[in-house]
Amino acid sequence: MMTHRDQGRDGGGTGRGQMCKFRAVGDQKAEIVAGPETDTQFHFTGIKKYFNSYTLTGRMNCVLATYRGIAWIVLYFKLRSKTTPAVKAT
Amino acid sequence: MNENLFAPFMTPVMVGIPITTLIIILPSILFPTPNRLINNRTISIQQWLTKLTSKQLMSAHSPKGQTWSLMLISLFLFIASTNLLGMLPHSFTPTTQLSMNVGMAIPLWAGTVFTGFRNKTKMSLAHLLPQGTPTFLIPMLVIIETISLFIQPVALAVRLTANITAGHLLMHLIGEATLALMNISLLTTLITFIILTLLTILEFAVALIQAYVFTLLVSLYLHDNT
Repeated sequence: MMTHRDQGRDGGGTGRGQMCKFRAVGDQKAEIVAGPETDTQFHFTGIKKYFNSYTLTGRMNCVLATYRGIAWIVLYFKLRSKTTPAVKAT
Repeated sequence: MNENLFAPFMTPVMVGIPITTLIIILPSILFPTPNRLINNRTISIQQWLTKLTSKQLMSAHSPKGQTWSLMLISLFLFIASTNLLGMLPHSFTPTTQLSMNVGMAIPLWAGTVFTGFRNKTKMSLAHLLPQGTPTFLIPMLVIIETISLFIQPVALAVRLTANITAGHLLMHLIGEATLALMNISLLTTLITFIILTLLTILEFAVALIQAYVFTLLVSLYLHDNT
């Protein structure tokens, strides 16, 4: 973990004169800033930008994707056609 | 001699007419409306206690959450007064009925959840997944958090019902045991009577604590959603 004091530099949406720490989140670097958390703290790329368990948007999308997956599974089992039996009763 | 254990929990009937509604409305007459600048001692004490409780409950809320103050204080006063009136011998306690407690818990919980989804949709949905969850655990945790969300009103109602019902049953059973032991051993009767006295004091405390816990949990759900 690397720490540095960031006086008066306004970069990456971190605000003014805040203590910044970096921590590794998988293969991404995430900036931890004292104060209320915002989505701009995390700099994900690719699909992780939309589906992750750190930002509000990412968490919301994961939750909605889980619900959609469950709905698809339920619909699949409800709507699949019944297969005809191999041996007919005589 | 052995009174039916279910008798205190059955719907009270007077001349064939169920009077549950009257019993539910009864506690409200114990809280007269203040109609003077300086009221009598009873109303002044009630006002002081109400202010103390409302400050304790609502100080941590945002202005939006504080619009629920009247609702929550009324809820607390209703449950506390109903529970305390239930401590009178041979009285009926409405809060021992699961139907009534579920009828209070579900609308209040649903109100807080819908408020959260309406005003802060993203945050409400995001709260269903704890921050920092490993990727392979996400679907399972979403399901677990959803179940825990829907368990909340059930837990609220069952907690109140079980606590009040269990307390009344225990008092009834230990009271019967005390009476039964009177002809057998006076010393054991004395010990049982002391236990009954301590239990009665505990039940008075539980009556107030359960009312506070119910209201506090509803206010916590509201705080999470405002």
